[in-house]
Amino acid sequence: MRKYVTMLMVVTLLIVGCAREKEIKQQSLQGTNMIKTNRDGTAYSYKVNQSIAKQAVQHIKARKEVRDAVAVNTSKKLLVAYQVKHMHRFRMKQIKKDIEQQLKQLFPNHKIIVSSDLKIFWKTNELRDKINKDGMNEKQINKQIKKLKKLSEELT
Amino acid sequence: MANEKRKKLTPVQQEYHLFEKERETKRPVVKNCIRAFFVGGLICVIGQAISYFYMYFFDFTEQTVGNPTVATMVFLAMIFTGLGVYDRIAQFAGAGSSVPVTGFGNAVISAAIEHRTEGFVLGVGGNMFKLAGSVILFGTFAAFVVALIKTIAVKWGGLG
Repeated sequence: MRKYVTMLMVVTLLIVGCAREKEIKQQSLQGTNMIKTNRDGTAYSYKVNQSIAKQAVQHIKARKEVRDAVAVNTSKKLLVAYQVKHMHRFRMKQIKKDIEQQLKQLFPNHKIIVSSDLKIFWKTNELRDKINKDGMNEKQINKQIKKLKKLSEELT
Repeated sequence: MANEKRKKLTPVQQEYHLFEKERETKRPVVKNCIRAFFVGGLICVIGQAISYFYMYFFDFTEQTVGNPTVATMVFLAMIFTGLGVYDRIAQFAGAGSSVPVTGFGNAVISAAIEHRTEGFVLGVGGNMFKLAGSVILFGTFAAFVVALIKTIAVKWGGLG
Protein backbone atom coordinates (compact mmCIF):
# COMPACT_ATOMS: atom_id res chain seq x y z
CA MET A 1 0.00 0.00 0.00
CA ARG A 2 2.79 2.37 0.96
CA LYS A 3 4.62 1.67 -2.27
CA TYR A 4 1.44 2.42 -4.16
CA VAL A 5 1.07 5.78 -2.45
CA THR A 6 4.70 6.70 -3.15
CA MET A 7 4.22 5.71 -6.77
CA LEU A 8 1.13 7.89 -7.05
CA MET A 9 3.00 10.81 -5.51
CA VAL A 10 5.87 10.42 -7.95
CA VAL A 11 3.49 10.34 -10.91
CA THR A 12 1.60 13.40 -9.63
CA LEU A 13 4.85 15.27 -9.11
CA LEU A 14 5.92 14.43 -12.65
CA ILE A 15 2.66 15.71 -14.08
CA VAL A 16 2.78 18.88 -11.97
CA GLY A 17 6.34 19.39 -13.19
CA CYS A 18 5.10 19.40 -16.75
CA ALA A 19 2.31 21.85 -15.97
CA ARG A 20 4.69 24.60 -14.89
CA GLU A 21 6.04 25.15 -18.37
CA LYS A 22 2.87 26.89 -19.46
CA GLU A 23 3.16 29.53 -16.73
CA ILE A 24 6.65 30.45 -17.80
CA LYS A 25 5.46 30.78 -21.36
CA GLN A 26 2.63 33.08 -20.29
CA GLN A 27 4.98 35.23 -18.28
CA SER A 28 7.17 35.82 -21.29
CA LEU A 29 4.08 36.67 -23.36
CA GLN A 30 3.02 39.21 -20.73
CA GLY A 31 6.39 40.88 -21.15
CA THR A 32 5.83 41.40 -24.86
CA ASN A 33 2.38 42.81 -24.13
CA MET A 34 3.86 45.45 -21.85
CA ILE A 35 6.28 46.59 -24.51
CA LYS A 36 3.41 46.92 -26.93
CA THR A 37 1.29 49.10 -24.64
CA ASN A 38 4.23 51.46 -24.23
CA ARG A 39 4.01 52.55 -27.85
CA ASP A 40 0.32 52.13 -28.13
CA GLY A 41 -0.38 55.06 -30.41
CA THR A 42 1.94 53.97 -33.18
CA ALA A 43 0.78 50.37 -33.06
CA TYR A 44 -2.84 51.30 -33.74
CA SER A 45 -2.10 53.26 -36.88
CA TYR A 46 -0.55 50.09 -38.36
CA LYS A 47 -3.70 48.06 -37.79
CA VAL A 48 -4.18 45.64 -40.68
CA ASN A 49 -7.53 45.56 -42.39
CA GLN A 50 -9.17 42.19 -41.82
CA SER A 51 -12.05 42.51 -44.29
CA ILE A 52 -10.55 39.97 -46.69
CA ALA A 53 -10.32 37.41 -43.90
CA LYS A 54 -13.96 38.08 -43.04
CA GLN A 55 -15.02 37.58 -46.65
CA ALA A 56 -13.07 34.34 -46.87
CA VAL A 57 -14.70 33.02 -43.68
CA GLN A 58 -18.14 33.85 -45.06
CA HIS A 59 -17.46 32.00 -48.30
CA ILE A 60 -16.06 28.93 -46.57
CA LYS A 61 -18.74 28.75 -43.93
CA ALA A 62 -21.31 28.66 -46.72
CA ARG A 63 -20.02 25.22 -47.76
CA LYS A 64 -22.09 22.41 -46.31
CA GLU A 65 -19.12 20.27 -45.18
CA VAL A 66 -17.54 23.00 -43.07
CA ARG A 67 -18.53 23.36 -39.44
CA ASP A 68 -16.49 26.40 -38.52
CA ALA A 69 -13.78 28.58 -39.99
CA VAL A 70 -11.43 31.38 -39.00
CA ALA A 71 -9.08 33.46 -41.08
CA VAL A 72 -6.37 36.06 -40.74
CA ASN A 73 -4.88 38.18 -43.51
CA THR A 74 -2.10 40.61 -44.26
CA SER A 75 -1.74 42.55 -47.48
CA LYS A 76 -0.11 39.58 -49.21
CA LYS A 77 -1.07 36.49 -47.25
CA LEU A 78 -4.33 34.83 -46.24
CA LEU A 79 -4.37 32.10 -43.61
CA VAL A 80 -7.57 30.08 -43.35
CA ALA A 81 -8.29 27.31 -40.86
CA TYR A 82 -11.50 25.32 -40.92
CA GLN A 83 -13.10 22.29 -39.30
CA VAL A 84 -14.91 19.64 -41.30
CA LYS A 85 -18.17 18.05 -40.17
CA HIS A 86 -17.80 14.54 -38.81
CA MET A 87 -19.10 12.33 -41.61
CA HIS A 88 -17.49 14.52 -44.29
CA ARG A 89 -14.04 13.85 -42.86
CA PHE A 90 -13.70 10.90 -45.24
CA ARG A 91 -13.31 13.39 -48.09
CA MET A 92 -10.79 15.60 -46.27
CA LYS A 93 -8.28 15.81 -49.14
CA GLN A 94 -10.86 16.68 -51.78
CA ILE A 95 -12.43 19.35 -49.53
CA LYS A 96 -9.03 20.96 -48.95
CA LYS A 97 -8.39 21.03 -52.70
CA ASP A 98 -11.80 22.59 -53.39
CA ILE A 99 -11.40 25.26 -50.73
CA GLU A 100 -7.90 26.13 -51.93
CA GLN A 101 -9.17 26.52 -55.48
CA GLN A 102 -12.15 28.60 -54.43
CA LEU A 103 -10.00 30.96 -52.39
CA LYS A 104 -7.43 31.31 -55.14
CA GLN A 105 -10.17 32.39 -57.51
CA LEU A 106 -11.65 34.84 -55.02
CA PHE A 107 -8.39 36.41 -53.87
CA PRO A 108 -5.84 36.06 -56.68
CA ASN A 109 -3.50 38.67 -55.19
CA HIS A 110 -2.99 36.81 -51.92
CA LYS A 111 -0.80 33.86 -51.07
CA ILE A 112 -3.24 31.38 -49.58
CA ILE A 113 -2.50 29.00 -46.73
CA VAL A 114 -5.23 26.51 -45.90
CA SER A 115 -5.36 24.06 -43.01
CA SER A 116 -8.00 21.78 -41.53
CA ASP A 117 -5.89 21.00 -38.48
CA LEU A 118 -7.48 21.62 -35.09
CA LYS A 119 -4.29 23.04 -33.60
CA ILE A 120 -3.93 25.52 -36.45
CA PHE A 121 -7.61 26.39 -35.98
CA TRP A 122 -7.07 27.19 -32.31
CA LYS A 123 -3.92 29.17 -33.01
CA THR A 124 -5.52 31.15 -35.83
CA ASN A 125 -8.47 31.95 -33.60
CA GLU A 126 -6.06 33.17 -30.92
CA LEU A 127 -4.21 35.29 -33.45
CA ARG A 128 -7.43 36.80 -34.77
CA ASP A 129 -8.58 37.73 -31.27
CA LYS A 130 -5.20 39.27 -30.57
CA ILE A 131 -5.34 41.32 -33.76
CA ASN A 132 -8.81 42.57 -32.92
CA LYS A 133 -7.84 43.41 -29.36
CA ASP A 134 -4.28 44.67 -29.52
CA GLY A 135 -3.98 45.66 -33.17
CA MET A 136 -0.77 43.97 -34.31
CA ASN A 137 1.19 45.41 -37.20
CA GLU A 138 1.74 43.66 -40.51
CA LYS A 139 5.23 42.45 -39.71
CA GLN A 140 4.12 40.74 -36.51
CA ILE A 141 1.16 39.07 -38.20
CA ASN A 142 3.37 37.90 -41.05
CA LYS A 143 5.74 36.37 -38.55
CA GLN A 144 2.91 34.54 -36.79
CA ILE A 145 1.47 33.29 -40.09
CA LYS A 146 4.88 32.01 -41.12
CA LYS A 147 5.15 30.20 -37.80
CA LEU A 148 1.72 28.59 -38.22
CA LYS A 149 2.51 27.57 -41.80
CA LYS A 150 5.66 25.86 -40.62
CA LEU A 151 3.72 24.13 -37.85
CA SER A 152 1.07 22.89 -40.26
CA GLU A 153 3.70 21.39 -42.55
CA GLU A 154 5.39 19.38 -39.80
CA LEU A 155 5.06 15.65 -40.28
CA THR A 156 6.77 14.07 -37.28
CA MET B 1 -15.09 -30.51 -33.09
CA ALA B 2 -15.07 -30.64 -36.87
CA ASN B 3 -17.58 -32.95 -38.56
CA GLU B 4 -15.03 -35.09 -40.42
CA LYS B 5 -13.15 -35.81 -37.24
CA ARG B 6 -16.32 -36.85 -35.45
CA LYS B 7 -17.07 -39.58 -38.00
CA LYS B 8 -13.88 -41.38 -37.06
CA LEU B 9 -14.94 -41.60 -33.43
CA THR B 10 -16.39 -44.77 -31.96
CA PRO B 11 -20.13 -44.76 -31.14
CA VAL B 12 -19.36 -44.46 -27.44
CA GLN B 13 -17.17 -41.45 -28.05
CA GLN B 14 -19.86 -39.85 -30.19
CA GLU B 15 -22.40 -40.41 -27.48
CA TYR B 16 -20.07 -38.81 -24.96
CA HIS B 17 -19.53 -35.89 -27.28
CA LEU B 18 -23.27 -35.17 -27.41
CA PHE B 19 -23.50 -35.63 -23.63
CA GLU B 20 -20.70 -33.16 -23.10
CA LYS B 21 -22.07 -30.64 -25.57
CA GLU B 22 -25.37 -30.49 -23.73
CA ARG B 23 -23.77 -29.71 -20.40
CA GLU B 24 -20.85 -27.43 -21.15
CA THR B 25 -21.24 -23.74 -20.31
CA LYS B 26 -21.92 -21.64 -23.37
CA ARG B 27 -19.43 -18.92 -24.25
CA PRO B 28 -21.09 -15.52 -23.62
CA VAL B 29 -19.99 -14.09 -26.96
CA VAL B 30 -22.44 -11.20 -27.10
CA LYS B 31 -21.72 -10.12 -23.53
CA ASN B 32 -17.97 -10.26 -24.18
CA CYS B 33 -18.37 -8.20 -27.31
CA ILE B 34 -20.36 -5.52 -25.51
CA ARG B 35 -17.83 -5.35 -22.67
CA ALA B 36 -14.92 -5.17 -25.12
CA PHE B 37 -16.69 -2.46 -27.08
CA PHE B 38 -17.24 -0.22 -24.07
CA VAL B 39 -13.87 -0.70 -22.33
CA GLY B 40 -12.00 -0.40 -25.65
CA GLY B 41 -13.98 2.75 -26.35
CA LEU B 42 -13.14 4.12 -22.92
CA ILE B 43 -9.42 3.56 -23.55
CA CYS B 44 -9.77 5.40 -26.85
CA VAL B 45 -11.53 8.30 -25.09
CA ILE B 46 -8.61 8.56 -22.67
CA GLY B 47 -6.22 8.53 -25.64
CA GLN B 48 -8.21 11.28 -27.33
CA ALA B 49 -8.11 13.36 -24.14
CA ILE B 50 -4.33 12.93 -23.95
CA SER B 51 -3.89 13.94 -27.58
CA TYR B 52 -6.02 17.06 -26.98
CA PHE B 53 -3.89 17.81 -23.94
CA TYR B 54 -0.72 17.63 -26.05
CA MET B 55 -2.28 19.73 -28.79
CA TYR B 56 -3.51 22.40 -26.39
CA PHE B 57 -0.47 22.81 -24.18
CA PHE B 58 2.36 21.95 -26.60
CA ASP B 59 3.11 22.62 -30.25
CA PHE B 60 1.65 19.44 -31.71
CA THR B 61 -0.78 19.38 -34.61
CA GLU B 62 -3.37 16.72 -35.39
CA GLN B 63 -0.80 15.23 -37.76
CA THR B 64 2.02 14.99 -35.24
CA VAL B 65 0.17 14.36 -31.99
CA GLY B 66 -0.07 10.61 -32.63
CA ASN B 67 3.46 9.76 -31.54
CA PRO B 68 3.47 11.30 -28.05
CA THR B 69 -0.08 10.04 -27.42
CA VAL B 70 0.82 6.45 -28.29
CA ALA B 71 3.95 6.68 -26.17
CA THR B 72 1.96 7.97 -23.19
CA MET B 73 -0.74 5.32 -23.52
CA VAL B 74 1.82 2.51 -23.72
CA PHE B 75 3.67 3.97 -20.74
CA LEU B 76 0.47 4.18 -18.68
CA ALA B 77 -0.44 0.60 -19.60
CA MET B 78 3.03 -0.54 -18.53
CA ILE B 79 2.67 1.16 -15.14
CA PHE B 80 -0.80 -0.31 -14.62
CA THR B 81 0.48 -3.76 -15.58
CA GLY B 82 3.26 -3.45 -13.02
CA LEU B 83 0.76 -2.42 -10.36
CA GLY B 84 -1.49 -5.35 -11.27
CA VAL B 85 -4.44 -3.19 -12.26
CA TYR B 86 -4.35 -3.89 -15.98
CA ASP B 87 -4.82 -7.64 -15.46
CA ARG B 88 -8.12 -6.97 -13.74
CA ILE B 89 -9.26 -4.73 -16.55
CA ALA B 90 -8.21 -7.35 -19.11
CA GLN B 91 -10.10 -10.05 -17.23
CA PHE B 92 -13.25 -7.98 -17.44
CA ALA B 93 -12.88 -6.55 -20.94
CA GLY B 94 -10.94 -9.21 -22.90
CA ALA B 95 -10.17 -8.00 -26.40
CA GLY B 96 -11.24 -4.48 -25.47
CA SER B 97 -8.05 -4.06 -23.48
CA SER B 98 -5.66 -5.98 -25.71
CA VAL B 99 -6.54 -4.65 -29.16
CA PRO B 100 -5.73 -0.97 -28.46
CA VAL B 101 -2.06 -0.03 -28.26
CA THR B 102 -2.19 -0.35 -24.47
CA GLY B 103 -2.33 -4.13 -25.00
CA PHE B 104 1.16 -3.90 -26.49
CA GLY B 105 2.57 -2.33 -23.32
CA ASN B 106 0.80 -4.97 -21.27
CA ALA B 107 2.25 -7.79 -23.41
CA VAL B 108 5.79 -6.47 -22.99
CA ILE B 109 5.69 -5.91 -19.25
CA SER B 110 3.72 -9.00 -18.29
CA ALA B 111 6.25 -11.20 -20.14
CA ALA B 112 9.09 -9.37 -18.38
CA ILE B 113 7.49 -9.89 -14.98
CA GLU B 114 6.77 -13.54 -15.70
CA HIS B 115 10.39 -14.36 -16.55
CA ARG B 116 12.01 -12.20 -13.90
CA THR B 117 13.14 -15.24 -11.91
CA GLU B 118 15.28 -16.49 -14.81
CA GLY B 119 17.66 -13.56 -14.58
CA PHE B 120 17.98 -10.32 -16.47
CA VAL B 121 19.66 -11.47 -19.67
CA LEU B 122 18.05 -14.80 -20.48
CA GLY B 123 14.90 -14.12 -18.48
CA VAL B 124 13.72 -10.54 -18.84
CA GLY B 125 15.77 -9.57 -21.90
CA GLY B 126 15.15 -12.75 -23.82
CA ASN B 127 11.46 -13.08 -23.12
CA MET B 128 10.29 -9.47 -22.98
CA PHE B 129 9.31 -9.44 -26.66
CA LYS B 130 7.95 -12.98 -26.69
CA LEU B 131 4.48 -11.82 -27.67
CA ALA B 132 5.25 -8.20 -28.58
CA GLY B 133 7.89 -9.38 -31.05
CA SER B 134 5.28 -10.99 -33.25
CA VAL B 135 3.22 -7.79 -33.05
CA ILE B 136 6.20 -5.81 -34.34
CA LEU B 137 7.07 -8.37 -37.02
CA PHE B 138 3.60 -8.77 -38.49
CA GLY B 139 2.83 -5.07 -38.05
CA THR B 140 5.89 -4.14 -40.09
CA PHE B 141 5.14 -6.81 -42.66
CA ALA B 142 1.50 -5.73 -42.99
CA ALA B 143 2.62 -2.12 -43.42
CA PHE B 144 5.01 -3.25 -46.15
CA VAL B 145 2.29 -5.15 -48.01
CA VAL B 146 -0.18 -2.26 -47.76
CA ALA B 147 2.44 0.20 -48.98
CA LEU B 148 3.24 -2.11 -51.89
CA ILE B 149 -0.43 -2.37 -52.85
CA LYS B 150 -0.83 1.40 -52.61
CA THR B 151 2.25 2.06 -54.70
CA ILE B 152 1.04 -0.32 -57.39
CA ALA B 153 -2.47 1.14 -57.33
CA VAL B 154 -1.17 4.71 -57.61
CA LYS B 155 1.45 3.99 -60.29
CA TRP B 156 -0.51 1.71 -62.56
CA GLY B 157 -4.12 2.00 -61.51
CA GLY B 158 -4.16 5.79 -61.47
CA LEU B 159 -5.67 5.84 -57.99
CA GLY B 160 -5.19 8.69 -55.52
